[in-house]
Amino acid sequence: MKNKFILTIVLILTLFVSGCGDQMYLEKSDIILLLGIDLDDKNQVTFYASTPVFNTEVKKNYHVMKVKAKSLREARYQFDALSQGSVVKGKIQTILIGKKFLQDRSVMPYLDVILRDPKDDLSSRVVMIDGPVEDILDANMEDKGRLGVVIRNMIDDTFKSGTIHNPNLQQFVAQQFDKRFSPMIPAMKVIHKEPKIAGISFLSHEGLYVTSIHLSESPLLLSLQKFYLEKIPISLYISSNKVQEKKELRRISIAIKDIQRKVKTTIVNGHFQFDIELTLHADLVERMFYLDAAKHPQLLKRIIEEQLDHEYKKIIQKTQKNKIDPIGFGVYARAKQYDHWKKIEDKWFDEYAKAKINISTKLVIINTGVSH
Amino acid sequence: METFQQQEDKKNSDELLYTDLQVNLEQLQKRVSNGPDLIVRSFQTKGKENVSLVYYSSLVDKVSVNDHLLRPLMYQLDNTSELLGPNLSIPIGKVTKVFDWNDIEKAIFQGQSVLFIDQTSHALIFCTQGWPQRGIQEPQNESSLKGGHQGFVETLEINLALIRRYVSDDNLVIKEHSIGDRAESKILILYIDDVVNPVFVQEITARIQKVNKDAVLDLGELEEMIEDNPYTIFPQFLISERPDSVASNLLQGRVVLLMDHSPNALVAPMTLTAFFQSQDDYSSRWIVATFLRLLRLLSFFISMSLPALYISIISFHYELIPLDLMLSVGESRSKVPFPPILEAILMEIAIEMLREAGLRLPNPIGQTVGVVGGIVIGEAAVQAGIVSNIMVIVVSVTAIAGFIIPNYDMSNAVRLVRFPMMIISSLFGIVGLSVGLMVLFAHLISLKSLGVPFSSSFAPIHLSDWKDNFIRTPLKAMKKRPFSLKAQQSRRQGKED
Repeated sequence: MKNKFILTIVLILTLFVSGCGDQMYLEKSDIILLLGIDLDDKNQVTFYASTPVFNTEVKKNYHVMKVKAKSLREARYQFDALSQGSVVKGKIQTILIGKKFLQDRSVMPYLDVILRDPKDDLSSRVVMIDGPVEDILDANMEDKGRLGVVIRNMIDDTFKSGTIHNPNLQQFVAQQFDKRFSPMIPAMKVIHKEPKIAGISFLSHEGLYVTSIHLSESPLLLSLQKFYLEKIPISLYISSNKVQEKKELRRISIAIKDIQRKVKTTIVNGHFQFDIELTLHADLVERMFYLDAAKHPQLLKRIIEEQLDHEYKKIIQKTQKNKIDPIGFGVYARAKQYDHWKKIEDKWFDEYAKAKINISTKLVIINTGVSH
Repeated sequence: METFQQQEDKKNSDELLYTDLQVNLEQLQKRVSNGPDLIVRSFQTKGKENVSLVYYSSLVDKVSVNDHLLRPLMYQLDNTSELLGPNLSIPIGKVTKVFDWNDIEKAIFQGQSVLFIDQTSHALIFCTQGWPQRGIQEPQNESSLKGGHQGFVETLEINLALIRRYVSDDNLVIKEHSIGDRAESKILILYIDDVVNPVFVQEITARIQKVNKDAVLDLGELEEMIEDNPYTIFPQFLISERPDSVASNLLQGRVVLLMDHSPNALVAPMTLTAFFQSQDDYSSRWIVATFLRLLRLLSFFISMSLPALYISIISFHYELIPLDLMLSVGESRSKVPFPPILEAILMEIAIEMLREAGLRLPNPIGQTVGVVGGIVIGEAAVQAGIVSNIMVIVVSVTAIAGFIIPNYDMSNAVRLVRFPMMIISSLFGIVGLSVGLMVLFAHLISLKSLGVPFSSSFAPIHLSDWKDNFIRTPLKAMKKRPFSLKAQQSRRQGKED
């Protein structure tokens, strides 16, 4: 009995021997919330990091670090040299990648250390910066808050409003490896020290920057992709001659609430042909020109449908011209025409450029709002 | 001052009464300490017999002695032998004839009156007890909103009466035992004969008989001596001061112990889940009762592991909390000079001290201690940067969660388990907390109460008992007594199938 007691005490005390070593107090660590990767003027890889400062007595509540390094892991040692606490990267909210960097090389090898560590966050947002990444870190945050939080909130909010696509790190990696479509990430810009969401940028299958679309076009792309959260807002310029109105008033806005998409995939003359029937259920939210809706109940619908067809074609042509497939036609090609897909699997993006794509849009207006 | 040995010798000497009254009285003076409250009243009865009435004035009911004993003896009774006959002519309930000094001693110390009669070899004992008593009051530790408001008191007879009022079954068996060599206490074992599993009765009787101690003053003491595992922190028997809850347990097939001068009843065997039930549950709406029980379960876990979880998150796993919470925790922690474990232990100990201080003080002062302590620790300590805001919240929520557990013993157990949990999670983070909880549950599963698995209905699983565990189904659905008790008559509602 006595021996048992002593043994228990000794065992309990040995707990203390091995413990404590890997403790890392929250307030004593520098937690990277925002990571930036870019090329500088001399084409050297530069890493940026922003960490929150918990001390409430200092004026600026975040800390920005900039180091030159060959890899992210190497950069971390240098970040450590620059910071008060130990630098940790388990809570990276946003990864910013400079346009110059993406034009030069793929970012994937540089993110390997994050993907490898199971403690790291795979839900970081991946964003391209149209311009030097340094601009974002120098942006005016006095009226906003902590940089890492502000950028995250901006991206999340725009994503929720249905205007940009927002892949997290895991999805980004999956997109990069997928042969059926090419990745796209949101793009940001800094104008007069104010950060701003610019639109969506398209990367090639190799991970290089190809082109981008503006924030006003990106909802169209998302609606074509049958991607929606709650609603997708679309504003259109109506070019139809059925509307007699001054140029600046020829605008209409709809909010898409539901999308039905039918894609017919065939092979014509050895090339793919996609016939898309898109049915959009939407509310009319803005019409700046006059139209007698009672007299011509179908007219309004028809001119919007026409305009949408036109806009969709423009986007598709743009992607075909650049040999990228962010909309994901490859998914249909593989699913519906597998034999043919097998033959062209490795050169799908060239094949996509040659494909014939027909699109016809049907609009169902649910609600036209209060009429006066 | 006599030594223990001398007293023993005296006991072994002639135990029988002498016939001569004077000799008997001398013997009495030797045996019973001659305190100021020992009354020896010698007189002649109406029938000219020399008698002496002996009693402790502090332990008898004076009205009873004066009016119902002395008066008839002095003025009405012709012969003392009439006292034992069928036409008992004095208004006293119980009269016994004894020959042995030991019985006399015991009777006098219990507050009975002893009548020595000259030229006879026996004495008569009259039941005239009457001692300071507390009135029946609302139970302090287990107050209820809907149930009865009567709590047990220090007198065995009254406690028995309170239980009998709920269980007026002729199968209610009451067995008397006594315990303690020096200061003897009466113990009653209560059970319903055709319901209870006889193994429980045998087991508890055997355990009580094994107790060998000079005095057992309270049921809590007795509990420790008869429970299955005295080294665990968890109570294995229920100590209750509510007659209705005791009656309910009796009817479910449990055994109840009552002890003289203890204002409680001990219920055995108990399971872990039964400690989270309150008598009010059965008289409230079943949905509300279910919610309250789930709330208690939640607070059981909060009370045990919330500070530990907090410590492990802020010392190891900052990734686990959302960013915005992390930032506010970080800001609030930034001024604190102590590591989280020290901060937590400081606060916990402060709260425990406040609680213990408030407990022993009279009500108005106790409240003041609470308010002063709350303000000083809650406000000033945060202002001074000794503890963080979040820690104050964590510790207070934990303390409140601890109070929700309806049983005092269980609540104390949980409150103490918190500390090892905190230490282990400060050493190993969530891994430590998980291991700690695993060890704890393994321990709970290994416990037994009177041979019944303590975590019964979960380990081993009895699905039918889940109707009345952490949820309470409508009474209509609870047709059977708890399976874990293996009652002789398992059905308590509806027809036997």
